[in-house]
Amino acid sequence: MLSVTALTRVFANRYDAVAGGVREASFSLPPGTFFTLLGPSGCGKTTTLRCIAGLERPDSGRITLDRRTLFDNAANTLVPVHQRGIGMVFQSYAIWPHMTVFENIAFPLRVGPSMPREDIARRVDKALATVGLAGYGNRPATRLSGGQQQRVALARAIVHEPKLLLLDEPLSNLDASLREDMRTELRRLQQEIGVTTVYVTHDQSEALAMSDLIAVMDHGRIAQLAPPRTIYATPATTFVARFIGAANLLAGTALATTPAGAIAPVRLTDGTILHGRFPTATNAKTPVHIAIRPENISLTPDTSHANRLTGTLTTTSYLGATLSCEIAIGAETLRVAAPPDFAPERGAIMNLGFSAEAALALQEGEQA
Amino acid sequence: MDARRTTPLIVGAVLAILMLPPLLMLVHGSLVDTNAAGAATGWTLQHFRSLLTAPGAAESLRNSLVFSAGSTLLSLLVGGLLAWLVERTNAPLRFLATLSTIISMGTPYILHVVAWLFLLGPVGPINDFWKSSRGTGKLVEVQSMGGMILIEGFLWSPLVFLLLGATFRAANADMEEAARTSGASILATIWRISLRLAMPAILALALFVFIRAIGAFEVPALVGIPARIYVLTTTVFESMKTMPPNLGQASAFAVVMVVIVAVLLHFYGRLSANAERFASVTGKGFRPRPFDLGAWRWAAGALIVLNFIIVLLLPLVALIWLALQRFPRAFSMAGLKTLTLANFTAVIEAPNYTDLAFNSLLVAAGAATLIMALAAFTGWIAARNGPGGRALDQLATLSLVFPGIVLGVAVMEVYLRVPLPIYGTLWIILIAYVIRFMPFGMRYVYAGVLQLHRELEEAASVAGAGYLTILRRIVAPLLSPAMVAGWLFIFLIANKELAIAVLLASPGSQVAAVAVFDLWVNGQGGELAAFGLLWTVLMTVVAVAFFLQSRRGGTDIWGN
Repeated sequence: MLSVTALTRVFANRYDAVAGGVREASFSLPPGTFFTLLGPSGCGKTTTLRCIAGLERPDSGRITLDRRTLFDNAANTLVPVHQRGIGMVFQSYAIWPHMTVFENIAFPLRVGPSMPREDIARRVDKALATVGLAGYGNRPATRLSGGQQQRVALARAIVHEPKLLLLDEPLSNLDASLREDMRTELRRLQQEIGVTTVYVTHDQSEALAMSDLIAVMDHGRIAQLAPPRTIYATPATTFVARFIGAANLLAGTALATTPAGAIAPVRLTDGTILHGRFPTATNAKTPVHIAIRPENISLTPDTSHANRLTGTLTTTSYLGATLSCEIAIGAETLRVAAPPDFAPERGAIMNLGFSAEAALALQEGEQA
Repeated sequence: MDARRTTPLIVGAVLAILMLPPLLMLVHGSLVDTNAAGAATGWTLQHFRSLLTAPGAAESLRNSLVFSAGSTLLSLLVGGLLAWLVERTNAPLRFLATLSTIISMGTPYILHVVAWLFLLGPVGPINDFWKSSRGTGKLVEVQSMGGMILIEGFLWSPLVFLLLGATFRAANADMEEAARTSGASILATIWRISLRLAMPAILALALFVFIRAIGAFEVPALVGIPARIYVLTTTVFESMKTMPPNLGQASAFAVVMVVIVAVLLHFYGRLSANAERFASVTGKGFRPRPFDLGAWRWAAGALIVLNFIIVLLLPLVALIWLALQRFPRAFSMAGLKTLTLANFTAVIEAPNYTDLAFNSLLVAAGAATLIMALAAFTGWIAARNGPGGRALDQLATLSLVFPGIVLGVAVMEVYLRVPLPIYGTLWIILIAYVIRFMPFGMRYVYAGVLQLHRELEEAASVAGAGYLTILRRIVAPLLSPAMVAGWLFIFLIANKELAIAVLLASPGSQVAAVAVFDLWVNGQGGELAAFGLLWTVLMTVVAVAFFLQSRRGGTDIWGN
């Protein structure tokens, strides 16, 4: 059980007012969880990971792993990184070029409590087999492809059977097709050995595909902590909706004070009234965005659609499975996913409809 | 105890014991009044006051500035032009420039100076030719400020070539090609883009050469002293060589030099930081694309050959000629009849030359080993901003403020007073070398560590390795190319060092550069040349090893 409480590590920035780092982050992970810290660069996700690893000293907060306190500001406890018993895969893989594959992987066992030679060999071979590199032990580490280096780094991180596995954007240096393969592979492996895993990425599709639990981070704060489905279906803030992907966001204000979960009207800047569901309690006159996904907008509106709009088709792009249409409605542009065989004329007048259930009325997240 | 805290403390203590006493002693020596027996009697400002009133003081300061400025300009012009031609154009015969640089790396400066004194001197080929055609007089007077600047300038041009070469090699050709595709001619591109981009590096290098020239000893001693042209270093040397040595005045002069150098170094630090911001290479796997000089490439080739002749061939021929003659005489057909191997036989048979060579190699190797061992810790801690890293860095590079001769005076003052029986032995030279060359070892390790991806160490840390294990198992093996290159570099420059050794060597503890100096003073030009040639051959082998190693170390960027 990894438990992080009110973790704060702020970097002062001399050049502009924006400071990086992480503020007041809290989460706790049941054993075996695949947990992802997701966010744009500079959001504090890597800082959080490095604090858990012990490579960075937090300003305040508390980190415990299976009842062992790794860091506690109040009690002035700080377990140094090499005594934490964790495994970590670095973004650059950090494969030591002066060692063979075997020696790279054996390193955690050699610097740990002394272990018979045969046991080391057995465990390294097992780790190599786990990552699908059986028989590669004698290779010099410099003669590996990117994908192989990644596997070696992973084998090195799990060889001493750590209680916690930390992964710092491990797929970002691989090319696209390899990345897809490794994504599945990594998830399979993690489920097989059942190790609690903290994964850092800026790629939302990676996060959705692999995780049990995702924390979306924004300016050092956790904007939403939820399973992938919840994050995708009901983003908590405009930031999360924007970051998770292709949602249309229409700016407006809440007409009335609305309790969490209720459906209520929103007035857009051009005066149009739309109905949406409010995931959080919202006061009247609060600025909100209506978030609606392209695939939830119908080009054949009927009475089931609480929201109806009319606009002009400006651009289409053929994406294979769908035809993406951009439709101008007043000053705003909406993206709509149409069936691929749909072939409209540019400039055509289009009628759109979507349900109030599918339209979320989101507030901006609190800013640092 | 936690090695993370104790290691910097131990390293810092060792550095402080080495680095601080010479500086403190120098200041102390310049402020203390002594009686006839040399015992301190009180504090005084009289030594500094005597600088103001001493007849030659102002002049030697002015001479130092003129000499340094002149030789800096000359070496930048020659070395810079050459570096650009070699690194950024398709001029032919470019390997000749590298060859002369490698060989001059290994040659003691004093040998160059001796060769040039012969070439430009009264019996040298130039004046000899002038005399035989005109019947009288000299074309060049080498023992003049002009001669000093000329020789010093050519002495430094290989270093300028080496350092600016690195700058030009690292220049991003995209920037030049962007100018060319915008319609700029080659000349306009060089003037408005290449030179502007290299300017911070050139200025920093100019200041660096200027600082080294202020502290130069060989040329001022051999060329200047006979003509009674004194600079700061030779003034210090003279006041140390009078009987009894005027330690107070020498220390006062030395303190003045240290202050000048420290101020210049401060500006150098700012300039070179500025130069780094202009570095235009960001990615890896990058190749500079040379300019096509067209028909001009043969003119450029001629320049390279001319430089090769001046920097390497002529001095070498002069030394060979001197070595093969019993008495120094001009190049002539008649001289061919008096060729003899007697000087070489004398050098090989006399046991003192082998002792001397052995002493030199031993002290240089010892100093290089100690420095690299100490620098491995210091450089790593400093480059990784470990606890106390900045303080260690400044301590390790403190000796940059000492010109060689000044450090000689300071170390002498320290170890005359320390109750250790090392004065007059090789140990004191070893200690002085460690102090003097520590900053170079430091730079090699520092740059080496910066090339290591930090995650290589963090990965070891996460895997459970402690502080010293990371240093031993990860950092040291990965740094070994940089460490070997640094070792060879220090070994080479320690073997060239004259200024320190000339004050600290005693008859029982001679080193090669000092022996060459003594031979010169005694007028034994033939044996000097013979010994010098053999020595140069030996050092060239080391210099070649150094170049191969640097090239290897430079291209391997670990962890990417």
